[in-house]
Amino acid sequence: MRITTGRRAVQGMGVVLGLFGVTGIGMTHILFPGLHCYACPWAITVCPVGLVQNLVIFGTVPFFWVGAMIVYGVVAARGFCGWFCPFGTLNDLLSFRRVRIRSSLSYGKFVILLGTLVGAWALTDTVFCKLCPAASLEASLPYLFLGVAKVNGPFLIHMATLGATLLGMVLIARFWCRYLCPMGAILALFNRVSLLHLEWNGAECTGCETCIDACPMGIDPRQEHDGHNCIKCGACTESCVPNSLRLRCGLRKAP
Amino acid sequence: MRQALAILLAALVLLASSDLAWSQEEILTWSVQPAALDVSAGGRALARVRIENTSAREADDIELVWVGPEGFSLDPAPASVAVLAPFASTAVEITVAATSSAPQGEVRGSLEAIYTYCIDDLCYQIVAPVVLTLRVAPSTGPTAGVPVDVGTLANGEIEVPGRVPWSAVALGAVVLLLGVPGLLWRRTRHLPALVALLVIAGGVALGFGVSLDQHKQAQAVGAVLCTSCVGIETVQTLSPRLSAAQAAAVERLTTPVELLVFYAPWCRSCPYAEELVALVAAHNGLVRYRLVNAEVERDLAAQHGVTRAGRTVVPAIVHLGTGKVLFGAEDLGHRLVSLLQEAS
Repeated sequence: MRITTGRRAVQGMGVVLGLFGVTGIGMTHILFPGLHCYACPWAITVCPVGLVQNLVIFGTVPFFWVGAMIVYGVVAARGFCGWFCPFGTLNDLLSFRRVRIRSSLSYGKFVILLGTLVGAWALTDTVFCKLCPAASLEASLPYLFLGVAKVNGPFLIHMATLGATLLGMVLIARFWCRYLCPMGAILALFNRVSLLHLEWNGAECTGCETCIDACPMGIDPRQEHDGHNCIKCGACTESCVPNSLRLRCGLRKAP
Repeated sequence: MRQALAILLAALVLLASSDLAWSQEEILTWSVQPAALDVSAGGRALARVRIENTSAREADDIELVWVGPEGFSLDPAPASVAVLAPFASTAVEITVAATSSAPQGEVRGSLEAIYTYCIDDLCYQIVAPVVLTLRVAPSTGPTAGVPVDVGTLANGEIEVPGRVPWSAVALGAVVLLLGVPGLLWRRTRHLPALVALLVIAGGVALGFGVSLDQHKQAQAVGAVLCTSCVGIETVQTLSPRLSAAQAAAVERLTTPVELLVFYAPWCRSCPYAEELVALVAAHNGLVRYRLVNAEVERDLAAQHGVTRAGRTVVPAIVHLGTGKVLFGAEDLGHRLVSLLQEAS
């Protein structure tokens, strides 16, 4: 089975889990390993970014949150961006232009993460949620049709951020995942140690660079597969004719 | 990697030191079982007081004392609850002793619950009323029976059943599954140790978080939708006011009105809705209302349609006569007065 086929199936499972509330199951205690708004009418999982803002506001030391993030980080880290996150899947589906990443801009997601935490602390408000394009898509729009939301200032702000993000996705593959996603920033902290990882065998590499063209994140997978921008989607491994890039699950080989 | 760890450390320090300037408020809810306690004059009866912490603060030194009327006492005095973790619940047995001269018939007993909670160095002592209905029969000689099954709960003990959710068990299993290979597989010099350390740290953090009921806190935050928290509307921070025309419209109401105001303790627009309804009620005595904690009374919320696709939405005002629901706080004064006028 091709990696892309398997990945699409897992991404489908991510969407199904994200919308599992249609079955009538209420909110669970599970933190979602991706960016998925808990305010979505059909969500059964808690958005880690939304929750951590509330914990900052409450003044709670987030043991449960940290534990869950470590677990997700050790398992797959940004592999969840490439394989599971519904908003990542949307990015994926709109990945028409695979341009090279601007490395300096890719630190923007860490800035957003810090800004999210500082904003919650300083303003005692879930500031990021009010701008989050995932919330725009998964909460604002559904609640408009359910008669709870109205077309007002906050709604228009949501639509503006959603529109801008969608435009960015169309112009730059995985735009949100590359530059802005705070959830991606959290998972990226564990990208060097995660069990799901890429391996590159330089001895087998012919230097054709098709992997660079194939990478939706616009990185050079040979050099940056352990960096914070690799989402372990495996697109590069499929493009690699000599099979020098492989997607593995387990501890890494000695360098 | 160093940069990433530095960011993580900075975030954790920030989280640990963060706080919210909360005002003094009740953080515990109380319910007494049974609702009416049968006791004979000169006898005793057992009841169970269920205490639920609806906040992210820890409640300390919780005590129950009898206030009145005379002729009754708590004997023996119930044990105090030293600590009640955020979003945790517990139950305390109380024994109500009636003297032979205690008033007979249905008597409204009053207790006071005294507890403290702290925000950093600032601690508040809260004295909250707890009401108990007593049905006092004439003396029948021996002590009246115990009308409530108190089970095996000890005073102040946290209820164990249901505390560990299946999701945390699943995550714990994942941690174990990863931890064992991480400890045994030494194909690289340092990485396995790091992975094992992370797994242990993650497991400890998860377990400690669950012991503090933080998983319930996460669920509670996700289960109730605060309209101002996710940008459905702006936060209403100013006190509500009625225009002269709105006040006059409320004063002209001639039929009794009953409202339920659903709120969540952490919802930032809910105080606005609560104050607005209180303001309306102050203008017309025919308007009565009850504040309902949507996190605690989810069934009541569902029963009155304060849910959308299974999610409880706050703030919400239910007009019991018509069943109509007003969500949110934006333009609420106008919407509420219009609803009252339509319903009258």
